[in-house]
Amino acid sequence: MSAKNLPRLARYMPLWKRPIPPYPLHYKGNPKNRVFLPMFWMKMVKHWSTLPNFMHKFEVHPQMTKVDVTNYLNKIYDVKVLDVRTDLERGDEWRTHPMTGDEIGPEPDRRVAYVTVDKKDEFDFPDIFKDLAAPEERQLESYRSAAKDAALDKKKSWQQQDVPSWFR
Amino acid sequence: MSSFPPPPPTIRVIQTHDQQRSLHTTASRHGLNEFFDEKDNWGKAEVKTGRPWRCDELRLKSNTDLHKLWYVLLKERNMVMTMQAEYKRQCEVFPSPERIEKLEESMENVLEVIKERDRAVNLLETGETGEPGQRWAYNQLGLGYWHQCREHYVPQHYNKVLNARVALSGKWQYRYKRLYREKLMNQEYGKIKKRLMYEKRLKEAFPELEQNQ
Repeated sequence: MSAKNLPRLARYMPLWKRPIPPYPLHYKGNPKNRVFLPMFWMKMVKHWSTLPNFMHKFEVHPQMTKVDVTNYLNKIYDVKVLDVRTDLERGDEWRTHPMTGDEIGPEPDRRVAYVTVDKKDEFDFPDIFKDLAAPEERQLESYRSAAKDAALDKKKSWQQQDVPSWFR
Repeated sequence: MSSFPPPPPTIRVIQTHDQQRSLHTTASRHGLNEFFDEKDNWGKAEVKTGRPWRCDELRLKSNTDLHKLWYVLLKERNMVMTMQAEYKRQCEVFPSPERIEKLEESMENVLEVIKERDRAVNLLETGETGEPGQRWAYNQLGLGYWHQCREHYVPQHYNKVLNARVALSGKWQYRYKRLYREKLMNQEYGKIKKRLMYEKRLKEAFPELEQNQ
C-alpha cells in the first residue's frame, strides 16, 4: 500500500496554539461565568523603541480581549492594570535565505497588548546578556576549548589516530 | 470561687535536631518579575528540569491541588515563552527548549484528569456525560452530516439560517440526491475496475502464478 492511500493522521497542535472555545452564554440573573482553567498565554516582549517604566508590551493569545488581559494580570500576577491597548502585528512573509537560498516560511500575525500599570509595578526590561561576553567572543572561546580538547586527545592516543574516535 | 481542677500538663513534643528539617522555599518573586527566569539561569547553556506530571500521580490529587498546579504550570509556561522570545531577539540559542513540551504535557494531563472527574459526576447524577454531543442533520442541499451541537444564540424562530434550510428542503432535492449517489457509486466502481484490470495485467505478465494455484 502506497503512502498516498494511507489515512491522514490528525496533526498534533500544541496547547498554546489551539483555539479556545467561546464563553458560555450569560443571561441576566444567572450566576457569573467563571473560568477555572484559563488557557490563555502571555509573553513579555521588548518594544523596538524604549517604553517608559510603567508601560509594558506583551504578546498575547490572539483570542484575548482587553478585559481578558486586565483580568489575567490582575488575578494571576497581582499587577494593578490602569490601561490596555491592543494591536495586531503582521507576521513575517515568505522570504529566501541570502546565503543558502532556503525558503523561510511565513509566520502568523500576532496580537500585542501595551499595558500601563500602577506605580508599584514599575519594571525595567532586564538585559539578560549584560554580564556575559559578546557572542563572537563566546564562540571563539568555545572553538579554543574544542581545539584544546582535540590536541589533548591527539597527545593521548597518537598511536591510534587512523582508528575512529569511538574505537580508541 | 471556681472549683475546677487545674488543667493537665500539656505534652510537648521536643523536636531534636535530627527530626528538624530546614524549610526550603524558592525565592519569592512577585509581579512582572515572574515573567523572567531566575538570574542564575540567564545565559546558561542548559537548564536542568524534571519530568512532566503523569496522569496516575494527578489522579491522587484533590481538585484544589490541581487548580493550584494549573496556575503554577501556566506561569511557568509564560516564563519559558518569554525567555524564548528574548533569546530569539538576541540571536542566541535557547537552552533546553523541551521545557515547553514538558509543561504542556503535564497541563494536558491535568485537563484529562479533570475531564474524567466531570464525566464521572455527570454520569452518576444525570446518566449522561456533560459533553456536547452530535446529531444527524441535513444541510441546504439535503445531504446528511453529523452536526456538532452547540448553544443556541437565538431562539429557533429567529434563526434565519435554519429557517432558510427548512424552506429549501423538499421533493425537488430527491433527483439531485439520486444523481449524487450515482456519482459516488461510479467512483466506487471505478476503484474496483482498476483493481481488476491490475490483476488481469499481472496474470498476463506472470501466467505461472495462476497454474501454481
